[in-house]
Amino acid sequence: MKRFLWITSLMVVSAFCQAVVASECIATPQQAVKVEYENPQHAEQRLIFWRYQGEVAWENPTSGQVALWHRLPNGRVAMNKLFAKAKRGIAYEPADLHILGKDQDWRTLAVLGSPKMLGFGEDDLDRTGAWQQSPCLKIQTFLSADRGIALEWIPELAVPASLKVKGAGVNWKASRIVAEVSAVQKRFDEWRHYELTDFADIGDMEADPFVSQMINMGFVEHSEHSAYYANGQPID
Amino acid sequence: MKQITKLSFVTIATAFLSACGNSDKESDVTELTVPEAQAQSAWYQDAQQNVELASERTVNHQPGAAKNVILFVGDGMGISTITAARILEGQMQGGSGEEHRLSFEKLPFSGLVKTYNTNQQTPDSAGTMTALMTGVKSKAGVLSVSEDVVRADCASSQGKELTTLAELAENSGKSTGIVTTARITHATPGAVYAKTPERNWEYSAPSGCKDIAAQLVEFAAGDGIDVAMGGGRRNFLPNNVTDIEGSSGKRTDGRNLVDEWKAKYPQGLYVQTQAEFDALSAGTSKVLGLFNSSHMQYEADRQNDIAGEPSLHEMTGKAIDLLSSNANGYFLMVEAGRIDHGHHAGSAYSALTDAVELSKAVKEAMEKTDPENTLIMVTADHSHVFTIAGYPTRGNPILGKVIGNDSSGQAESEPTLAGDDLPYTTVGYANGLGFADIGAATDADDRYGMPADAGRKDLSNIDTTQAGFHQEALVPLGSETHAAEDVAVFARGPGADLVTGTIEQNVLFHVMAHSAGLLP
Repeated sequence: MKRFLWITSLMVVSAFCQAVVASECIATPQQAVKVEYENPQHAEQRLIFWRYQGEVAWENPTSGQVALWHRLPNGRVAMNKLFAKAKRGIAYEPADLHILGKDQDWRTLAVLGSPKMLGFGEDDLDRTGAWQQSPCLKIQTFLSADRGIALEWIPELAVPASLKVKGAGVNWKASRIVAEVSAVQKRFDEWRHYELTDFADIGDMEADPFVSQMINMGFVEHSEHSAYYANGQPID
Repeated sequence: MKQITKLSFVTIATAFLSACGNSDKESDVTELTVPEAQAQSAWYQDAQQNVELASERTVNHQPGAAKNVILFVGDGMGISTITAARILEGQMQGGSGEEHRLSFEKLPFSGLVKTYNTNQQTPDSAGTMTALMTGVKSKAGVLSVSEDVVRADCASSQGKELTTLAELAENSGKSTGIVTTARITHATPGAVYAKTPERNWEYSAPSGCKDIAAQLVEFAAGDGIDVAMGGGRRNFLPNNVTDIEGSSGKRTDGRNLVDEWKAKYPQGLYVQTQAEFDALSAGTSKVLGLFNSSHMQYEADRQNDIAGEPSLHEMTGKAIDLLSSNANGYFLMVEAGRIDHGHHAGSAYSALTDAVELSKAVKEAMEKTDPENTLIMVTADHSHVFTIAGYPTRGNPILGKVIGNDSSGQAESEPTLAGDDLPYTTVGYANGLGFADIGAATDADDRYGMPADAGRKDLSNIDTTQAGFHQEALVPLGSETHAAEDVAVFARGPGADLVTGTIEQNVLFHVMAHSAGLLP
């Protein structure tokens, strides 16, 4: 019996019911995972969710921006906003997030889109065939017609296979899942080498072209670019 | 002859007119007194007493009259911040706030300070602290080197190092101390002991220059810095070392400066937690306190620190206790470093609560020292674009929405509406992030980048007094900026009277050096 789940091939959600390995093969199912999501209605909208040990990250592959959240020993949450092309980042301490009104609960971040978080109970579980079980992965389908929410949930990985919220513009479907520890770890290690600037220091670093650009532009809000060269020119 | 005649005529005419004038005045004199109600007014009596106390004040600005010098720097504490912090502290104590005074506003002498750097109209902390520590204005971004250097150019700084007040104090046998809530390698504390053309070289520097953390440990004047407390632990540790709060060191040269400091001062104590801080005894000759990997917590958030941190007023009191054992006296620099950060983030709550904590720290110093032999000076390095606006009624919460008075001068029951029919806050910023409603945490879009969201928002249902609220801003910038107007200086003790008027920032160095007898 394999002790780890290795799913590195492209796995379209519809194929989950044919998933491959026995569930007991997942030794630490929630600790290392990468899930690529896409919006079926807008192909350009893609997101990648990463989870590794005490960290989770949301990557926008189009802009190269990553929000990397990590849990501190006291249970509070800090966040690094990373800019892949520049290999730079801004570090937000819990107090920074607090004064910016961006406090986060780790449980919400770590198991995003869980049935519990979305307010689903056992009664909402669709048992009419939508409960799809394979030897390794199973998908639970939750539906709430009243709230217009449809969730396909993979409990072993604690990630949504798909999530649709009618009227809220939320429509994400997993297109690929990687639960290989080394691959996920490698990505987090890469991010660890980014040059970080404390959010608290941004205001005193106007001479740094990268930070200066952020100050003047309000990060990327007013630009199609997500990162800049040392002279402040945007990286295309 | 002709001249004498003319002069005589003028003299006679003047005397005649003067006599007529006197005669008229004498005949019209009636004794005018203020009405009893006016004289009995608390405002009147308080002001009268104020003048009496001021007129009885004696000054002593003889060179060397100050055995001890304590310089408090509220980083970014412009005058509007002082006013708002005063009101906030007064309101926290149950008063209306406006009549309240922060501890340092009770110091007898004050003046205005021009803060510009030699190359910037609106300054940064590095250039301004260089002025305070060396008596020489310099460029933004450089620490205790002259304005001849090119920022971040190591070679250009060779031979351009300036002597600091801390070196002069050590050289004269005094003890020296640094207390800050920022990283101890940050610009303001850094300028006390380090000389570098780049304030950001906190843990590494190009060949030929030394990083700021190394300069603290290697400080050679006298017997070295006696008390150093603040944040910035990561700049003293190699990048393969994890500290007690789970954060990694930053150094890439493999040096563990904490170990080096311990080896250099075997009699000293290195402390990292509130408990270790509390256990420090007055007899300890050398203390290095690094309580956080980066900056220490905002005072409002201090209880959430992982290992526990002392407050600014606790560190100030402890530093004075430790330094007082030197019969030759001491120089102590205390920085409230996070007022600046709160403003940059557009959070008046954080900035003002840290300014209130600075007030407590000054109070601690006032109580622990003798005004006869200790010069206490409180100032700021620069201001921020922070404003107090509108016509709020007396006692209106300083962090609240403006509630004005009606036509009879009585407070309205509802917030005043602006021309856009929306309420507005009393305090705000001319630029910065502005107010943005809390977005969903998991959008994974640009909201994570905390984009600027300036301009007017509907605050009708927002509690603007909460810590999470950040005030509206006019010009959208990713970070609120410093401001160029003068800052205040308050002083007590020998030489305090020398800070009067509007002075250049570097004058304050000379006041301290003169008063402590550090210059020939």
